[in-house]
Amino acid sequence: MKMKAERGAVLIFVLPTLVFLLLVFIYPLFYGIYLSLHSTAAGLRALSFVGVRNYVNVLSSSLFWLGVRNTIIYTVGTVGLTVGFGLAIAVLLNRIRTGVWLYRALLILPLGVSPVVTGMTWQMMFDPLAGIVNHLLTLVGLPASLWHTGFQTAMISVIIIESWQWVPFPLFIIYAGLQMMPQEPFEAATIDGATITQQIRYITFPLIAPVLGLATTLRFIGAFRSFDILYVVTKGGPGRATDTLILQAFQESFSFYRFEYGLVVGKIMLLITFGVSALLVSRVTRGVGTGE
Amino acid sequence: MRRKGLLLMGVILCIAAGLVFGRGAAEPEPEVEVPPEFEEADIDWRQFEGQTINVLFSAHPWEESITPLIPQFEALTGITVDLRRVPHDDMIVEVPASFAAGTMTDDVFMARYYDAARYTLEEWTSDISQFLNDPSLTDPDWYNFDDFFPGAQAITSWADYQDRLPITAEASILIYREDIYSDLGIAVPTTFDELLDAAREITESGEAYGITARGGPANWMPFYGMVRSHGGEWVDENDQVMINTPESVAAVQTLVELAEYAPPGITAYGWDQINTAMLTGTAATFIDSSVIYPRLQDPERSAVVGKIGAAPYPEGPGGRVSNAHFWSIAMNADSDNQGAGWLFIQWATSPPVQKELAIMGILPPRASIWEEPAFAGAYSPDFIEAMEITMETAVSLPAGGRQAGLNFISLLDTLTRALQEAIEGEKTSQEAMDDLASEWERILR
Repeated sequence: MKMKAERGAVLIFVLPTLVFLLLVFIYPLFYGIYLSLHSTAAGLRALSFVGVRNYVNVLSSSLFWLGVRNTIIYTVGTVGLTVGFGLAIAVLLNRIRTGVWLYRALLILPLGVSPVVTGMTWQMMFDPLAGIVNHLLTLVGLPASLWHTGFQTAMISVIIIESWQWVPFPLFIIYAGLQMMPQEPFEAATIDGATITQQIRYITFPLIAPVLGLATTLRFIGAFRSFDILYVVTKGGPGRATDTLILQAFQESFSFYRFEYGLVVGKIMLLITFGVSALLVSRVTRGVGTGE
Repeated sequence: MRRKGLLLMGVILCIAAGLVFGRGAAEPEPEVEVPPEFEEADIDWRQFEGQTINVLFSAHPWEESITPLIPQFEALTGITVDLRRVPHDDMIVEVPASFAAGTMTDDVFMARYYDAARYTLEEWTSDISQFLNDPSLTDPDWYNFDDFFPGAQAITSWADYQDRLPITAEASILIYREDIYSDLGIAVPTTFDELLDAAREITESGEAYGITARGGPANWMPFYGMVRSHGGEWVDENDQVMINTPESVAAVQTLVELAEYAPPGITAYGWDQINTAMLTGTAATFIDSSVIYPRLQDPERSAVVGKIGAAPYPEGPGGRVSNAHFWSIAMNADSDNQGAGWLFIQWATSPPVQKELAIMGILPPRASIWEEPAFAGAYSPDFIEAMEITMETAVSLPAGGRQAGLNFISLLDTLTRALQEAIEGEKTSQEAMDDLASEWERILR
């Protein structure tokens, strides 16, 4: 009886959150799916049902697959750089004994900068003519680059900018993981005569793997639908060198009023995010659950 | 303490009473002088006396200049103007949105020609030819519609639906650094071939970059003039794609070759960047909007004051066809005060008002004002001449027929990307335009 009352109370307390979620997440999700099965050519008030035609159109367009390609490069690039640098810096930070608060304070700063400001600042620094990056490169005798304005260099430029902004995020997740790591296995290993590399390979890495997985998952979700920096720095250009799915979805919907395209791309992106996240999360939690 | 409080209260009451009762008697309406030219028009300016119209302006130098003149209109007509002013970026979203929703309450508003297709096809804007050709509302000799530059006359209608009148004028012309050109002994280019040679020579001399041009945001704007000057076109009036004809591709090739002599990073260059390149002396030549000219002569912003020359837009194989842009003013088709609204539009675009605005620095769309010493004297003769010659044959966007008009923004975006691919050498000019043509055909289908 008491149990039942408690459950009722729980339900009441959860209700506001549930209603909120329904309004801002579940309803738009299903309305979006509904819309994506209609033609919006005559406006949002004169919908006509077209079944999966919008999906067929999008999946058979070369624009979409170019977007997929660019999105994969961008996501893999930024996740790799942010998690890689995050891990490296976290390991170094974990060894620092004095003044660690200073490093922590400095390292978290990029996260506090608005992505639009980040984009505009890097745009100035990357300016091929007057930017400081080319200036420094030529000072030490290296060739100048077109950076975000060049067809071949635009993608790597936006990956660098996005990574600069987001390194602190996996860095501090991993750092927290390292801080919580038990010291006993290391002491035991040292007594047994294990080398530093052996300790990293057989103790640090397995212990840190779940945290690394979490950092990777969260960064994947972030990078996959990252918009601000790309929009500010290149808008997908030059040409379509940095045109990712989210930029296409935005532009097709709100600049060209082809809502179908934007909706379908949005739904496909949602599916991919769900799929990849579910995979990563299940691996991570399995690792945690069995203590592998 | 209490006494002080009472005293303070008394003072406040006195001030408040002064504000409330003193106002009406103390402040007579300032006498507004209506220029005598309006008497010469053979119409009854007071036929809509007592009405009120809502007017919506976008923040713009024209709006700043005409706002102080509005009491003149009110004194002339007895019509009250209720003015609202919003930032440009809000305006271009708000106006179409409120038309689409049927909630547009402004009678008269500032408009751009690029999206005219939508406004006229949906008949959001009122057909103004009914007022323009009504002798009780307009005196044709006095108003003198033919005085507008040919390009300015063209933008008053889209597909024969006349719905707006021009309020400003700008066009791509050639702006150059007189000192650099004379140091190097280069003649001012009159054709695109000469321009290319000049740009190469200047960049190779190391004095400055030979040219600056848009390769990024809104580069379609100056590019349209280049296409037309090479005898090309984007889309014809039947929505047939023309962007990959030999003439159009030749224009792309000219842009690609010019880009070699522009500062590096041209794919990120929009209006602001080309302005900066000229204002700082980084580049020596400019073939874009005349709006830059007063800035270059402003010591507060420019490092090259007194070193600037202006010349007509260069000629290509297809002649001299610059692209012009005219802000315009239009009327809401749902307005209940169309007569009063028309008088406002007529007043704002009339010879006397446009002349007054021109003297305040607004480049006018009426050819006769460019001859007026009071206006022309404020600019150097080469600039006035360059504008007059260029304006004779300048054209305005959008190009094409119904589908092109409705999908204009999509066409522009894909064009910018294709031009970037050509500039960057990812594709040849022909390949880039062929690919663009098939993309456009898909959009226009």
